[in-house]
Amino acid sequence: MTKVLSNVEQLSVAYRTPAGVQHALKSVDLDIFAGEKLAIIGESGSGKSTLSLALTGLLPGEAMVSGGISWPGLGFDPVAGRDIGIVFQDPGSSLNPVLTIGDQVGEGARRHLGLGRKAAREKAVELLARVRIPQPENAVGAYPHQFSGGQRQRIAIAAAIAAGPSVLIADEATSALDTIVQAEIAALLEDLVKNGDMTLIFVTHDIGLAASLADRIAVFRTAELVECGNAGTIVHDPQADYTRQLLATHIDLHSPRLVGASDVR
Amino acid sequence: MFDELLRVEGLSKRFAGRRRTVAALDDVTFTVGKGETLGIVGPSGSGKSTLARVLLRLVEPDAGRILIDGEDWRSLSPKLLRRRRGSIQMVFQDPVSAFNPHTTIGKAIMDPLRIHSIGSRDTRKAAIADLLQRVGLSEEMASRRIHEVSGGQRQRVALARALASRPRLVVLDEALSALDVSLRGQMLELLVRLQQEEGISFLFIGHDPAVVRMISHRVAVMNEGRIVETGEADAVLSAPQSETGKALIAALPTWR
Repeated sequence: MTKVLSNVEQLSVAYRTPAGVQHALKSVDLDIFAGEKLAIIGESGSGKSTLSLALTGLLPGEAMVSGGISWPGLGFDPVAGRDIGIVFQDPGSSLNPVLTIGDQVGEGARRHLGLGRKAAREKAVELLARVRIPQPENAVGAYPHQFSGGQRQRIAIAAAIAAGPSVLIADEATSALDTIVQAEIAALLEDLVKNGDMTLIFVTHDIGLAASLADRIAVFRTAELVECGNAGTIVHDPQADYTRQLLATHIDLHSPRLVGASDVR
Repeated sequence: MFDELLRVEGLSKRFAGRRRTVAALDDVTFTVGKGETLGIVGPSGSGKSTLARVLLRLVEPDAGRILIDGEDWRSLSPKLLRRRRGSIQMVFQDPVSAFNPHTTIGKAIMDPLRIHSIGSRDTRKAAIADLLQRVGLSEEMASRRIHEVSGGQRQRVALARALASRPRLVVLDEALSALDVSLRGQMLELLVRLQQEEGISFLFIGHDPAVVRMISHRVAVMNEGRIVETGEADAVLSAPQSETGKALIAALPTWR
């Protein structure tokens, strides 16, 4: 896992706002390795989603960009949807409500792999089975509203990997789901990349989820990369004060409670 | 020991669809004490939010009793219900959609004061400043609109508005779920301080058992409209007995 897929070099992204120029990313240097699971973590406004948009080439036109992203592992600039799949937080708004699941999941295969309608439909059935949608042969003819939130996110993942991308970016893809479904989606993502031919970039605000899933973690704060390292090192021996602070404010079942058990009848 | 504030008995609510009927609440019974926090955890669709809406009488239940301080909440006359509504308030997950975008924060907090005839026109400005200060905000916040303040401040504003009518019980429905971790911790501390100082009761609904455990004295686990397990928060969440409780805990990321 030492082959570099992508170099992010001195990447800065800024927007003009009424309050002046605001940086969404400031001089970020980051190597992404082929086949790794990289978590990008940070709070609101840290720049983590801007980075996933920059990697995908989906930054809005008004973004002022300097520095750059190169892809030595690919040897060419990736095309969004073909070489990079992306899954967002809200599958309800990324799926088209009036197109069937089969059309949407198969679209990537038609457009980028040149499959015909019938072949794309077969491909969609295969992809839906891969993300464990029950009865995929029937699901291709159904519409997004007929599925639960967790199933819709599985469908969005199926659409994202339809063209066989080298990179899958999951941008807060599990944040809107309950913890049980979140764990299922995290397990699915892990399973999809386990043979190492797809790189997973997992963007989240949850350091616990990042630590349980990723090989490496990159910590962002107010547009800057604070530190990046192996997941174990980041959570057990963080170098930056900010990472320590994130760990300290993380709530799990061992955190000290704020109300006493002795108050209870 | 808490004196009883809220008693819910046999609450049921079914929603009829075209093909099937869903039991959103199925014979739900529990109590909340004065100054106590009852946490409600459960997966999506388990009935948590329907429970909140029924308690506020935003949704009418099919059966069951809701007693607040011994008074039957469901048989109140419309006039009396209007007078009592201030005693249960709610904070929703998304403060942006819970506020009128055109109005100032001060006016939004003024509404419950006016509706519940709290104070006079002259004293309400001071009351608004006091409410904002109680949730850790400055009084100049009153002249701004909800979208002009940060995410963490918005949820404090929502809490200030909920507190305006001097509620006995505040229902928090995933109220901290959209906040960054550091802000979430601060909100939890604020809620506990308000409870200790003012004796407010909370019904704290959340999907993350770790967060619910922080603030709750007792916890009820819901699944498919039923309470499947209830007890002291740490006892339930460290060794859940129900399948749902076990599944919720097993789904938490393990890494420490």
